[in-house]
Amino acid sequence: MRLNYFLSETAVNLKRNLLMTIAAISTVAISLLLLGGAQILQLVVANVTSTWEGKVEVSVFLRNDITEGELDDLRSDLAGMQEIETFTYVSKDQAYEAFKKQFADQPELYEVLPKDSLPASFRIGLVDASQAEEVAARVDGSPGIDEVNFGGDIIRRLLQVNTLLRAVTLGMSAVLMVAAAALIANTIRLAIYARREEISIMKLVGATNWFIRIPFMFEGVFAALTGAIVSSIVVLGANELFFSKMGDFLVFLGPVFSFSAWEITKVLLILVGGGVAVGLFGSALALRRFLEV
Amino acid sequence: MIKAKDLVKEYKGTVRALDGITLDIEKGEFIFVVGPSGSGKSTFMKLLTKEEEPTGGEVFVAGKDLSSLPRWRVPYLRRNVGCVFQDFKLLPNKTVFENVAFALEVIGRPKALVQRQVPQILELVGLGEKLDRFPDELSGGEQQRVSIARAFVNRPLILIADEPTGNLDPTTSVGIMRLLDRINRTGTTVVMATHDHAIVDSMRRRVVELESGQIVRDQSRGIYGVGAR
Repeated sequence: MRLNYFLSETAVNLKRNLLMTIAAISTVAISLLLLGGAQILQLVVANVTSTWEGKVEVSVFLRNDITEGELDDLRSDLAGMQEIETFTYVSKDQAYEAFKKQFADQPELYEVLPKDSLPASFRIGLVDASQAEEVAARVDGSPGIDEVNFGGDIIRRLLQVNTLLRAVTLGMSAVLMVAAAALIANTIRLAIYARREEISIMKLVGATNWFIRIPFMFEGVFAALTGAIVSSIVVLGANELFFSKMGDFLVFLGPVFSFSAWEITKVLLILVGGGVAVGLFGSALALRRFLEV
Repeated sequence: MIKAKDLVKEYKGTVRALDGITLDIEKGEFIFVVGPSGSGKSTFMKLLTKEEEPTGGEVFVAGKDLSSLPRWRVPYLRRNVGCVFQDFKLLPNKTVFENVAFALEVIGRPKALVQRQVPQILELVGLGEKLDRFPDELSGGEQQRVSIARAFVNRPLILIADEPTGNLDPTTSVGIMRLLDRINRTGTTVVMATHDHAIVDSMRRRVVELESGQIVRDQSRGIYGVGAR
């Protein structure tokens, strides 16, 4: 009977300020969508890095004047390093052949290239891609080496961009969430104002503070949860209709935009949790400031 | 039932509304608090329900020291103290029945009890036939009866009435006083602030007269006061 009372009071409050409620719900939905976007972005970057990490290799380019002795020393050094899984020697000829193959449809490119212009190199596959930088640094000092490259640079830059993007999205989401909480607080304030007579009589006859507060808290949480559900539906819809079809447009985007059911569920849980938090925060704000009990 | 000791209430700006009130009210008493406007009657009443906090002194209501009563206990205090006001304070969008039922519902009383007690109490105040009317369909006297029913439906130990007849004509007032007298005879302590001479003189109950926040007279079976006549 109590729950019934609270629910019907909440419904009356919501109906009375329909427009305000809708504004609060939409703000919650938008702020949570940004939060969801940040989560999806995180998943995309995780997919990208895990796809690319397997392909990270350290390339050690050798000077043309490297001696046989230096080459042998280098070979045994590499064989002794635990971080290295495999390494292969690519001679100048092999490098040229590989280049020719890569640009087979653009003969003008390799035709102008002198046959011995590409350096010989070692191609090193790593046990753990994150150690690329370290391995590169260790090899770099050895004699006969011209230059050491590793793909980690791209990943690092990607992670930097991701950190920045995430910070921006999360920041915007936070600002909007505060705005949403303020809107919820204002909606509740209007409801409190509309019911001030009833509230004063409730206090007069000895209704407990929580009994008076709960319908208003429900109102705030309801608005926020509705916003969370709206944003969840958008995220789910985008995943079904858009992300999962990415591979059809551009093959390499397929794996990048494929998320497991659990990953999507986690995003939705974050949205609902964020919504409840915003709702409770907004309600608490309104009750503290506008409901003297 | 009510015990006040050296009660002082100052409002901001050095207005001393109550200036050392010491007063003992026994269980089952009917007491009038009289005095001109601004003498501190309403302030005294507000201290009894902890609607206001005293600046100094102590007040005990129903055995509880209000100054040490935590905020969350205040609602439970108010369940023992019914209140009636000059302006009735009824909810215009609720019927007579709903107005009274509201007082029970919001303190979590079960529905069955509400359904049983509300018609009973409305019968007692003489409104048994008007359960479904709205306040604006009733006369002033009838509205005050609803408000008394609401204050009494929970059987409080104390009933506080602040100028309950202030908006009513003399004939209607007599009816309201009969009702309060009946409630008093059930053992409920009644404290009524008024400046209605005729009522005080005809009832012949204890009279406490306030002037500028001080008790200038405390008389059992008193009248409103010679000077005021």
